[in-house]
Amino acid sequence: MDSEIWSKLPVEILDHILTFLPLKSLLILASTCRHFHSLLSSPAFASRADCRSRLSPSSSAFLVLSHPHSHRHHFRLYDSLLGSWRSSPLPSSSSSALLLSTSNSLFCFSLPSSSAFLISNLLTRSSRLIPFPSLPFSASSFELLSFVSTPASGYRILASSSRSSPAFLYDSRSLSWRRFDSFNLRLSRSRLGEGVYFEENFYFATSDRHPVSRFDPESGVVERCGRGLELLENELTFCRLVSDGERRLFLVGGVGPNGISRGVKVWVRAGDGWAETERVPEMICRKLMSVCYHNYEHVYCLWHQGMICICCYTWPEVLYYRESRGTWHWLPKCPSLPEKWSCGFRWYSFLPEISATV
Amino acid sequence: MSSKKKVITLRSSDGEIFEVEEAVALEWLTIKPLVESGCTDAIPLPQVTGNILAKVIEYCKKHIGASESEDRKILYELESWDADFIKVDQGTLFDLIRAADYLTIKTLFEFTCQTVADTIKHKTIEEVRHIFRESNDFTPEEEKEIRGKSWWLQGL
Repeated sequence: MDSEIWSKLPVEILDHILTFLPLKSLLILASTCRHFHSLLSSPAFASRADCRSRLSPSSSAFLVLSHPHSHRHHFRLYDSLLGSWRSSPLPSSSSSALLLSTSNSLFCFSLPSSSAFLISNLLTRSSRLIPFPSLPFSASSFELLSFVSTPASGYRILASSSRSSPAFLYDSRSLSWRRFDSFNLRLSRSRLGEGVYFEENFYFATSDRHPVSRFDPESGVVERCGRGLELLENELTFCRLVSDGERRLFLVGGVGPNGISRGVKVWVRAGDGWAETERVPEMICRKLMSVCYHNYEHVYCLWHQGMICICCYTWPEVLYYRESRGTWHWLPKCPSLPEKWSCGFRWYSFLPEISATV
Repeated sequence: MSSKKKVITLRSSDGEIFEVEEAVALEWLTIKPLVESGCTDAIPLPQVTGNILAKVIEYCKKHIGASESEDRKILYELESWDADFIKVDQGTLFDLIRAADYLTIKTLFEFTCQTVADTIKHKTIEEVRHIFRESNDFTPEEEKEIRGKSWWLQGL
């Protein structure tokens, strides 16, 4: 291209042309000069570019695998649109940060040494430090942690450090914590339990007779919502919740006598009850049960791009249900994982967007 | 009632006279108020030369009505017509962008911008700096930091 001609392009037209670039080219070319780089942090520019990359087939979506033994806090990335593992890992924003959760394009870390959460957009490398709420709050473990971000209304963190302590809700719109003293839930025994955000409420799998409860952050009220599951009262061996982020809430549950799962089913929230929609085929279910050794605390679920992913802390493969086709598959182990890793597999969904601000 | 379509007269910077249907001229937001006011004189367009104006009119005539069509065959045909239309030298492409911007013709502006973006998307940072004569105004520390942050994108 002839610079005699193109260097005469007015700057506002050049800016407009840059919004047509695919996300990847845009981020690489951001290091051309200060002006290009400053565009990335302009919200109007970023949302226009994101909007285009969503429409184009080249937009990207990844499953992120974090493992305690991973080299220098890098995350492995599985490109779920191409169906392949990325060769270069995604670097974390800080080597002492522990990844707690992700939501769309944002990562939520905890920085125990600074008593703070770190919210990061790893694509634009922007982040914000949010001090833990006032005591009582233990930095070492979370009884409960939910992190949710939406393009329209920022992000929220719901956290509680132990069963008897109050819960705290951070809202990026008000930049402040709210305290809920009456938050008293017997959460389901899962080492990785998270509340699921659906229709402006947080839903939790609980371990009492009603397997699901929800928390309305507006009113601060916790209520049970297990209608439609009563018949399973003694049969439900574990349950996990997944939301597609928009219209539907799913419950994935093990079913069987004496606390041993004979099958795994999927229910969908219908009105104020639950309707069974799918079951894991028998052979696949057997494999799932054998890889978690019937130790359901290791099982957790997440939603990623039209898929319900059933993951196991102790197994490097992921079982996923592709909703549009109604089919179940195993996502094979990442080929670069060392053989000796037997535990500690944590998966997250990552949908890169440059406009998500922290 | 006359069934004859209303015609708008335009004059390019080099004095060439063009006639376009009113419906076409109404898509050009810069002159829309003039057209709506019922102006009958030739509208002067001092920033657009005759040969570029001819291309702009050709594009808009082809696209009027067709862009909104839901008929796949028409859209497919339009797409291949566009691909031929834009096979022009860089100077013409540059002038088309300027003209579409000046006349505020959204479809042509987006299309020409997309064409340039498609050309630069695989270029290196050095090439892009050269094309737009942007100088590397980062300090060495800043550049190192920015590169450190974006290296992982290369394999994306």
